Amino acid sequence: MKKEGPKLKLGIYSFTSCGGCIIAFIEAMNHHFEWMEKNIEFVDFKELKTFKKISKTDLALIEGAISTKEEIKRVKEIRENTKRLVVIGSCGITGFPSTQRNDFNKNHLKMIEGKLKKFKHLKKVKLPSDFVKVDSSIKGCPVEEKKLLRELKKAIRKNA
Amino acid sequence: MHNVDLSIKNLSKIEGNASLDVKVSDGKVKTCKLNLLESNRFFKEAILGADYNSIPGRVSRICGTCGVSHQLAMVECIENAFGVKVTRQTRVLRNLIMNMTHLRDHAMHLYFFCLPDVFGVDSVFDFGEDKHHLIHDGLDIKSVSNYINEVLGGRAIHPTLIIPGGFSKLPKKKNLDSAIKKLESLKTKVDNLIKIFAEYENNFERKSNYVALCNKDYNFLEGEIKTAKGSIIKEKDYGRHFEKVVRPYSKAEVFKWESKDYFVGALARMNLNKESLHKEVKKKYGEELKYFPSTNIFLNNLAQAIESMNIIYVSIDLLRELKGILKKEKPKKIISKRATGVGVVEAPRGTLYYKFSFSEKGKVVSADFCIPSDQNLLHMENTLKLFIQSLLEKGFNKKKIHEEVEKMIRAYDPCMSCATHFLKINWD
Repeated sequence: MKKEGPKLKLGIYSFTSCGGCIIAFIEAMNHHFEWMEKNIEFVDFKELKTFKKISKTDLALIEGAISTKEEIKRVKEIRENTKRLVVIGSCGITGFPSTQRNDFNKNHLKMIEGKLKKFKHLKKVKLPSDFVKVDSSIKGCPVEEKKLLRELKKAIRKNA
Repeated sequence: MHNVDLSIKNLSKIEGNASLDVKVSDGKVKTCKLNLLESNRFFKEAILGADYNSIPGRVSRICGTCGVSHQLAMVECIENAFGVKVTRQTRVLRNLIMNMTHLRDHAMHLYFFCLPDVFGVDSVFDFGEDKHHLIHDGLDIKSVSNYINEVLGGRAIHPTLIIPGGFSKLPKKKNLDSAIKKLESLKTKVDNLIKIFAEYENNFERKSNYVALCNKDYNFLEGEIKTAKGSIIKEKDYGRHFEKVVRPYSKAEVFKWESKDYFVGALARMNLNKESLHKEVKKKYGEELKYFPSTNIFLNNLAQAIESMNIIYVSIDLLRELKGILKKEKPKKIISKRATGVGVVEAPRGTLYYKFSFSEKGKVVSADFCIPSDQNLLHMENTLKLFIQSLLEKGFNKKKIHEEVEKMIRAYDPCMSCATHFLKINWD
């Protein structure tokens, strides 16, 4: 896929999750690295390069649910700085399994309330869409690779 | 530098989120704290009361890169509790899946997290034309390991076919030949990787204890726990040697082995078990193996590279065996009972312990797991403290100290999703 002109500015961010959707992205690179390199500028990608602060992006991919005030702040900042925000993977869409504590009974809650308080977790685990406009989402646990690649190619074409 | 603020807010090129907090005053490192920024997802509590059949798939989601390790520790734990002995075929399949998980994980760590440090650049995207082929080597290794795990486990990340008692579906024999060919093609790439890390000099020795599961063929699923001090412990007795250390500022539990910090991972395995490497690997890498045993944590990278080659040789042998024995078989029947079981495996980053109790109906009554990255946390903090002190005494500037500290953290290959902890360096 050849491209003239600016590359797609991409940011990849992780919230409350196992990190598996970002790993899935890194694995998707196995067979698609060359066209990715030609067409994408990885502006924010903490797993592969130094990350200092949230940059302006054409596309932001986010995995995970929202558990803390800090995460609320961060997802809002990502939204402010991107043209298109796409949530990848189950945790950010249905919430499961990261939202599993939302269904805890009284006994289970008692076990964790100390930690929740100490580390300033929200009472209930929320979704990115509870706080920001989400343009699209790609389901899966981990995120479905084919659909992820289709989203990237679509964004690259639109950016051309 | 007597009083310096060196804060690494977002550690890059590691799995998960962490920061390092360091207090230096009057030229001395007073505190060095690793802080985990991952939010706790409370798996231990979430699975209480769940049926044992559902647990392997659930614990896989503790970690996106080494979820397989959790699944395999869990099935071992269940089978141990209910007195189930799996077939040789199942053991071969599980060994292969675990091997491929290690291979993929080591490749991600070595090529994508660590090689930029070796070449003095920020990321693989900054590699010059002359180094570009290394990116493709890393991608090829990951691609082959994923292919094999798709064939054997249904999927590379969070595999779907591993169940207590065996497998819910078996691979097709025709794919095994393809798997062998693909593994063979990786040998020159991994050989090159070993040479790079054998030549890369980065050194900080600190006399330490280390612990690993050891056995006769360097597999990651079975064996006895051995330590640098010469102890040999059966899997089921590990609990007697651990202490959990609660640190009020940390989301992680950390551990001491018989009251001292220690490390786990490829370096510990290589130190304790190199005699069990494949004979071809021992023959070819005699010079490199002379570095071990060592307590220079930077050699964890070379240990992972040698393990990667060993995995290739061992897995080719296992695939050949599997070709010969593969037959249709149902998973072993399981009858639940009130029992406690232990499962101990070597995840890519070190020894992973699972201990679960079940009710008569097979529901989880209690759950405990001990994560390799948690076991390394105390050792990492203590070693970093001494390391930073030595860099201060060498007169390194803030930027250089930052770089060296990140290299050391990366050498441990911490997994923050598993450990739920993060480093934050603030010098004041």
